[in-house]
Amino acid sequence: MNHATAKSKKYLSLGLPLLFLLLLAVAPLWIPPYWVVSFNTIFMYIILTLSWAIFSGPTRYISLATAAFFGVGVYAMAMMGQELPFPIVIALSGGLSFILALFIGFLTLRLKGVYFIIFTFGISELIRHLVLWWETKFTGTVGRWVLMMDYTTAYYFLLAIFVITVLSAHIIRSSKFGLALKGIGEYEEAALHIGIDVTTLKTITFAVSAFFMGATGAIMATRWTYIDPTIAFNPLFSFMPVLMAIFGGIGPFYGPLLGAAIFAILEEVLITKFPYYYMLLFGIILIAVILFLPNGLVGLLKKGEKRV
Amino acid sequence: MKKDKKRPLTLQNYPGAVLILAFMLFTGVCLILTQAQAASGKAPDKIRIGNAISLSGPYAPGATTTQIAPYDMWLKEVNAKGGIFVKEYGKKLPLEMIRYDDKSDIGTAVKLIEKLILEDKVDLLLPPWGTSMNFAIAPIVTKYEYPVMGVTVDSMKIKEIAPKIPYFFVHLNQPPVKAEAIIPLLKELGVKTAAVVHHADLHGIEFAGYVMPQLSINGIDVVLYKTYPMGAKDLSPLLKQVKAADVDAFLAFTYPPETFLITGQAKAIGLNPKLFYMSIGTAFAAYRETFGANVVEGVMGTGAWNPKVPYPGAKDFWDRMIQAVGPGKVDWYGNAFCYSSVQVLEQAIEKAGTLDRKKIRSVIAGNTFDTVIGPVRYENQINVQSPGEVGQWQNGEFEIVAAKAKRTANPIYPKPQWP
Repeated sequence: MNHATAKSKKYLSLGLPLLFLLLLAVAPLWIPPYWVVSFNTIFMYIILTLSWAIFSGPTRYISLATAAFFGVGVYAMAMMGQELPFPIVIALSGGLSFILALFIGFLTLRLKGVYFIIFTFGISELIRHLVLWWETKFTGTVGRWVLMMDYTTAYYFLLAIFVITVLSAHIIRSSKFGLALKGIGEYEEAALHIGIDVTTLKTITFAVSAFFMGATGAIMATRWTYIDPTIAFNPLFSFMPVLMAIFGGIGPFYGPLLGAAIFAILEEVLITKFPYYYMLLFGIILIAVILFLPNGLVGLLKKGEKRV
Repeated sequence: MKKDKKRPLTLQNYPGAVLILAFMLFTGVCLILTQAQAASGKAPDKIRIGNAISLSGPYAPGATTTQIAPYDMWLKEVNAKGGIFVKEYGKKLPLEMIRYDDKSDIGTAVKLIEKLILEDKVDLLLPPWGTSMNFAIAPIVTKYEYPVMGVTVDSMKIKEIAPKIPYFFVHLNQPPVKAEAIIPLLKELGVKTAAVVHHADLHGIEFAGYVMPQLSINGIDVVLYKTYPMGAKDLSPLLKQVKAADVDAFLAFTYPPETFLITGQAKAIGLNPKLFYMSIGTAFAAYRETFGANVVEGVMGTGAWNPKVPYPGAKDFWDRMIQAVGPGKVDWYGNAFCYSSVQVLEQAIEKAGTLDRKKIRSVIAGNTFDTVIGPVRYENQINVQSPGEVGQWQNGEFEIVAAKAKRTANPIYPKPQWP
């Protein structure tokens, strides 16, 4: 009997996500159009949070460079979107963010703790001002128009990136690679001494997570249709993933996913009805989570599970 | 929404799946709640107008002062007289406003515009505040064929893409037009030297881009030319340089926070050139209130409107505007332009006799409208209003001092000392 339940659970845990994926894939055919628009934003937050957690989750390096990679994607789309087909530009955007992250990683991933946090934040500000300076100096203006993508197309692109992000997060987690990352998070010195190439590992993971951020930025740019450096490198995109992940719980990878999804939906619902309460509620929930649920929602669930 | 769990397949994973299910339910319920108030679609008993604009965030003060106040006043007044007559339905239809807060965030603004169009199914749209916001919605309103008259749009880049966005109209007079008003004024007053500073954003860059070459062509020596980053909190080093340069005219292309900052700091360090000009924010009554009418006396600013203009209804409009929001909260430039944009909209609906947006659009594009800023006519969707204006604070009133033909008072030159 025990065996049978385990088996049915196995199918359930495999089948359920596939069912959801299928549902999501056909959703734009039957849900109202504005829901599709809403889903785009929800996907954006989920991908950003999840990809942030790919690196920051196991290693415990808090990165505030999300806006930098996201913004690079936005700009890549703004600059190349007119000439090249969308899928290529999206891949290129991710690629550019990847390369940038590699570069930043090699430079900075020797830094630890608060130095690393400040540096990553500084990087996105630096890039923002660099782009601003460049645009003012060489194009004589600051904003750019982006070719518009309709919401359904954007939906499928985001869904695809979402699936790839989830799969990568999963593969990294369950591989030796992920184990090594966890080792770094728990005791970096020890990881080093047992022969893990700590810096390379961190850098590559950092870059992988940046890839998804860049690709998402490229798609969102087509939804915004007009961008400038302040819009593309909005520091909010650095902070939100961190907060959402803390809310959800950084441990298992469905934590950030859950945190991001709930907040994105909450925003969706509250913003039109109670615009002022959104940030207020966000703040209250966050304080409550930090005080009472140090492991986020996931921690709460785990607790409940143990009791059962 | 989720997909994970093809891994360990132990008991630990099971709660994840439940969680996901719960989350899906939550999503569904929330979205259905949101949906509940969606529009019903039979013969209209009112005209529903959507407006996603900044009620919070850095754009909110400008949005409230310049756009929201005149929109709300217009709405109230139209409804007081029973609404707008639409021939197609043979009756007057009152207006209903659906307003959302875009949080001064462009992603939110774009999303809310689509919400208004797709979900609330509004009949017409009013624009958000700020150049980039308007730029962002322009392709979207074109896609869904909603005519929109952007008010706070200040960049000629719109001209390049105007053919691609036939549903977006620009109502404000644009930098080159406003620049056209400055140069003749400087020449008339006999300005020989000038210092030009501006912020590194669209408005400043473009404005300076038009004015700088014109200055040198007209023999005015630009002794100092500097830019500063937006959001600067201290400009006194820059202003000291301007003071040291000892120029006749100081021209600053600024946004409201910098306009206030520069005024305070210029007074503090005693920078008092014969001509003191800043762009956005100078025309706000709040500017006069902050420093006092005696301090701002003689300060010039971009764009001006004054109830003394010879257009029908101008004086009456201004009285109502001041009554509606109070004398300290009006905008001596934007309010009239904003109000005139909805005057155009109202006249266009009546003339078209329908709520068919395609027809309304072609009426707007092909006619001349009498408004409080004079006759409005769009050429390639841009309001032809040339030349622009320069305003100057005189006895607590923002008088039009340029272009010469539009003058409501003679310019005070040189500017009096700071008190």
